Amino acid sequence: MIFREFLTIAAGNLWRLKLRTSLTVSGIVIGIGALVAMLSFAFGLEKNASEQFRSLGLFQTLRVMPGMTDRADSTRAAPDSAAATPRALDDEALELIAALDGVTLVYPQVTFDARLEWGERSASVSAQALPAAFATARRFGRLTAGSFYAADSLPQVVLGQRLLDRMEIEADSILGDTITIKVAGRGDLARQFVRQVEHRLQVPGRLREMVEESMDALRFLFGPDEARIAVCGIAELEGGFGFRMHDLLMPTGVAQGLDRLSFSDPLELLAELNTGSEEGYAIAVVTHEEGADHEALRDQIERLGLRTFSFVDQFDEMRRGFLFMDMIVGVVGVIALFVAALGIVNTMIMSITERIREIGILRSLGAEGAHIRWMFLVESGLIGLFGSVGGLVLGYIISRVASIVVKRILIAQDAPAMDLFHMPIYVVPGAIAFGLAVSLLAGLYPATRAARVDPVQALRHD
Amino acid sequence: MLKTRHLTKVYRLGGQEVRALDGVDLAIETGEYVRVIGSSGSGKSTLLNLLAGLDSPSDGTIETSEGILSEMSPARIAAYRAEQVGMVFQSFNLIPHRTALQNVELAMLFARIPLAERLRRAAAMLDRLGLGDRLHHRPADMSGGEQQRVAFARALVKRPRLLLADEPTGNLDQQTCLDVARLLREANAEGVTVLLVTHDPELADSDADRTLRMQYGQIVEERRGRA
Repeated sequence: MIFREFLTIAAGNLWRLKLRTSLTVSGIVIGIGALVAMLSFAFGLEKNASEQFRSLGLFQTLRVMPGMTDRADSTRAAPDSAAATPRALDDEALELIAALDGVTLVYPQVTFDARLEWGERSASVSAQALPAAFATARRFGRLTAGSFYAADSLPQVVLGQRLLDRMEIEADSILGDTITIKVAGRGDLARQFVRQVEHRLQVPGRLREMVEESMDALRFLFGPDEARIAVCGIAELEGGFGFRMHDLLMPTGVAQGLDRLSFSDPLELLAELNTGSEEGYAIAVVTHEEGADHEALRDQIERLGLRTFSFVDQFDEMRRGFLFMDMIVGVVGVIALFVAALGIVNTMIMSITERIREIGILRSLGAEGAHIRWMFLVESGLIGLFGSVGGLVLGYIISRVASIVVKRILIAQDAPAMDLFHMPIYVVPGAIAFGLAVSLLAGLYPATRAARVDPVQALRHD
Repeated sequence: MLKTRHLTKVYRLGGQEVRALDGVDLAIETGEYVRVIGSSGSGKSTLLNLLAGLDSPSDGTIETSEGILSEMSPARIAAYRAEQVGMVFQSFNLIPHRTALQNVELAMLFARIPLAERLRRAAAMLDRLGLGDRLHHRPADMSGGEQQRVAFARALVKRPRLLLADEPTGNLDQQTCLDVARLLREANAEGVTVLLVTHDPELADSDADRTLRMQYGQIVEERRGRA
């Protein structure tokens, strides 16, 4: 009962000194507002990253690489590596992985640079070989026209909208039409080698002509280095966090039919150098069911003698980064709040000095020292409560306004719009509790001082 | 019954000891009206503060109906003050930003009386003291006499056993002094033990059962009986 009375008395005292109270409260409002806005930004970044990981299915994705015995890198080998003999990442290995429980899709990561030609237009593109099943098993973006290719052997491609924009081609005009894809193949390499030899040895004219004429034969030796393929679909392709969707998606079977160099991606080259072998693939991507045990599957793959890289590990690394950022942001907010807390201390000490006679009167009426302490603590608590609620509102407004501005900037730059700020519901009680705790802590010293006032001296105080 | 034994209070002022009270032995019967007179610095107010439990003695004891004050916890002393002691001061000591009604009801807060009951009793007491139309006025809007009546209302509203009045007429005119004397007499007539500290001749001996004269922290003279 007496606590409720103290609340009324404290509220009355704060109301009586409106200007001083509002100035002190505004300190807390700014402190909590800054803390909430900055935390919302940090939480927003984390949420966006997490959602993108989830939407791309990266929590259910593993990268698999050929086994290796004596190198340390970010990939992981079998826990009981003695039992796992390193093996190549070949079709047999992919079949073994595909047979594991929970695995929904396994495909080699094949990317290469190519030249796309369509009528008069041509452009360099980054191509990617993907199985037809990819369209149903994984998110790749949004089809804006046509469809994904239905089989791995069909000579069809899906083109990215960005590529068409770059080439200034309308989707409708190219959809269903045939394009030419040229790759840098072993034939090219051989031709370059022959030309280098010709040049160094200064081969005489007739012999040179003979060599040039026989160059076309290299095409038959190494296979075709170009293909005419129909455009079956146009898509806005998505990706991120080391899982990029390339501008041109091609069935795995068609890509394997092209004579292309064994690597075109630095990762592939690195993996090849690590294994020291060109046997099999450099990297394969494994996707599993949502409920499947990610770590158990990973262990099983590693026991096959392969190495794995988990996007979950990458996400955990990022989360550690976010945690660090949260801490920095939190420290900045706490500093702002600390300054506001000094304002509370100052206000309360002034209030005690002004009301020292009142303290004496209350003691003469039967108040204990503890009652006096509580009365002043309740006042500083109310300042904290009002300040925290105000700070929450301010922080929310700041984050909303900043979010709208950032969205407009992103849209203006043709980037996907995202909400950079996120305020989880627990921030509401958390910020109020924190503001209240800081205010009570700030009020503790003045309140204790008030409780220790000598009532006899206080009653004589002018 | 209120008893002091060898009650002593020593202050240290500027490195010197000042004996405000020097071994006072006093016994006040329940319902008695005692007047304490003496010059300034004779220890009258110190005696009052000690009896109220606002200050603690350097030596000696105070025995109340609740027990010996120095042996009681601060919470019990506060409760004793809240429930059994009413105090009136020369400077009224009203809280300036509270109305007359709020000042009076506040006296019952620490006795843990519910707000509605406090307000009812406070209004009735103010009405009885002729301030029924001043309930919602602040002290600054009242005359000295009215403020002292509010202070009396605050002291008496909780129906104390002991009323301690420290120079209650010090700032008042002659007519108001007579009103205050009447209020003290009425309170005593209702069974309240009254200890009045004064050097005001208007508060004549006629009201007190006993008059004590203090000098240098000691009771140097005692006169019994009403004049």
